[in-house]
Amino acid sequence: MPDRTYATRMEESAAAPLLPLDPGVRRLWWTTAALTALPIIVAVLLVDVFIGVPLPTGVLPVVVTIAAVAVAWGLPVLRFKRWRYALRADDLWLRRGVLWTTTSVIPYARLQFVDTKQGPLDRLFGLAQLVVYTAAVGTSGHLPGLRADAAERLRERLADIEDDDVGV
Amino acid sequence: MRQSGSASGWPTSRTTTLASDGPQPSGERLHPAAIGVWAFNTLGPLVVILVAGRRDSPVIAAAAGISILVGVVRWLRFRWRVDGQAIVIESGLLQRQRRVIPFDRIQAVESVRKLRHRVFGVVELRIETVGGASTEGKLEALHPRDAERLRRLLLRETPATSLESQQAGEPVAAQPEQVVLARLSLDRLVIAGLTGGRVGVAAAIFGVGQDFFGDRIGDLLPRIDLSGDLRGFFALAALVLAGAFLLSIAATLLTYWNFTLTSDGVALRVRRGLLEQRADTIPLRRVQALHVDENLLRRPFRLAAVTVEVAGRSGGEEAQQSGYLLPLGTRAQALRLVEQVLGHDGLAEVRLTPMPSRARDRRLLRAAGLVAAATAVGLVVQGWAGLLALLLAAPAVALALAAYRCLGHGRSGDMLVARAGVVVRRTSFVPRDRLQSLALRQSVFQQRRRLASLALQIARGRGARGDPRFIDLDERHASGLLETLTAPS
Repeated sequence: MPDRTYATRMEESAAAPLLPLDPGVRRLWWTTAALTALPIIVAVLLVDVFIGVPLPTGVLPVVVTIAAVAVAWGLPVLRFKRWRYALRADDLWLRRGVLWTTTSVIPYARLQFVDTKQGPLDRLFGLAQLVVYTAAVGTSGHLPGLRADAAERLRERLADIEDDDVGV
Repeated sequence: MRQSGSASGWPTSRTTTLASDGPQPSGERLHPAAIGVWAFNTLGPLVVILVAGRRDSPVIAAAAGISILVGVVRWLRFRWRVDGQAIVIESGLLQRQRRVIPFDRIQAVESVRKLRHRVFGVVELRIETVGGASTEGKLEALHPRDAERLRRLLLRETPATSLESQQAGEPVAAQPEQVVLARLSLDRLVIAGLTGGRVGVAAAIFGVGQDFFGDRIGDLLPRIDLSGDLRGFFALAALVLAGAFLLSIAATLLTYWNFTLTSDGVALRVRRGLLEQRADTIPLRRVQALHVDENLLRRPFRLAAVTVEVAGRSGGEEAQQSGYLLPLGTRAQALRLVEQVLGHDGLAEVRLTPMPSRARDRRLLRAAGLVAAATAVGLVVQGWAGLLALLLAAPAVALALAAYRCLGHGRSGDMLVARAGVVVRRTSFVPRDRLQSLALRQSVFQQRRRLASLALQIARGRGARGDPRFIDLDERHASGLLETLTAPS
């Protein structure tokens, strides 16, 4: 697509809608957060009952539980609110992160390959992850919560984008 | 390089497991010395055991026999061949594997002559491609002549300039002219050892050793009362330091002995090593970025080192050593080398722009926080004497200001220059067309000061230092760069 001018490309990029993830991803994140928080709460409870801390019994577990529940419930909400992605004219645009915000720009010309992944939890909520790789070290782009069919369509679309020179 | 489909160009090498009753393997064997080279590792310890006087000779003889036998079978089952535009390696003792590495995926070829190779007069050839945690292709024993022939074949690059000469009927084997870009003299090597990062490592090793053998070192120094005598402590510290420097110099001499960097216009060649000789070949068009590193000890003397980023270099100490294009030189020499390798003049004259002064404020605040925390801990632990921690304020502020002064960004045509780091100040030179992707990162603290960091993500080795970054740019400037740097020009 070399006939487009720089100005039109910029215009198209600016016009590309910023899409949120599938709202269902919050349920997935809540589940994983609960799975992480539960052992911590249980451990604190056991320590409090059997070993004891220099506080009245029950205070520490209650405080930890409240904090854990607040984080486990709140963080996925904030993460979901922050997450945006866009398929722009020449690149994939991603923004994520609550305390540290990261905005990535991955030119289609640099894509080496595109994967969809579905873990057991993903399957449970009917979601899938899209992972794109460039020649840079590690994963270059990762879209965690897409509807399974949408992820598949996106993968097809990205794979179909005409390859440019992808030399390393 | 064109990719046939988005999924097929990657992974860069293909490994298949072959049925054991499959077709007869074809291709060339390694040099028979491979058996010796493989056995060298297992036989070495056995000899040590023998010498140490544990003479369970039958057991040792059996172990030696088995290791040689395994080597023979391994050698018999190892084949390699050049198949069109790829090298095919078939190996495996019980389960046979076939690995196909296309030429156009090869990032670098290194020939290694460790002691065990030199005993048998052979060379090991290592083939690096993108990705993968380890070296993708290893031919562990080749006749030096075969290794050289194969190396040229693997990196058969046809630059525009030499294409005509080839068409004019010149044989491919014609040796292109090698231009020496860097060489390291003995005194430079010693200075490199004295000021290198190894000093710290060696000192740490010595320190740990002293922890373990503290008593015995005490025996060595009978006149010094180790218990509570300050003089004894300083004597030990001096001993550790001197030992660390000696160790560091020795290690540097061994690793970079006779260091020579040459270029024939197509590829860089690095030769080095005393006991273990290495020759690394890096095609120029595979160079992703160059770094000029200046550590605290070297900066006052305007000395620097140059390292190269090549995709797919596996991590670890060896890869780090292989990354040097110039282990030590003057700053001017280093910049000249960068210009030559990247083929981009005027880099030495690029004036780097400092980051906004808000970046300095951030660092000062961080230093103040650290000193406050140290003082608080000191007050709790030591009482009023803890206030002495306030004396840390001066060095902390000095370090914060130095860290800010080390930050810088610049650009010369399509060459991006990023500088950061206070202990090791690294100036990275990244050609714009080497960018794979960009990432703009902003913490809540940066957000408050309208700053952001931009990572220039390139295809690099798995080094410790990550991608080159513009740290603490003005937020609007950073978003502007995010939009324009990867745009096709």
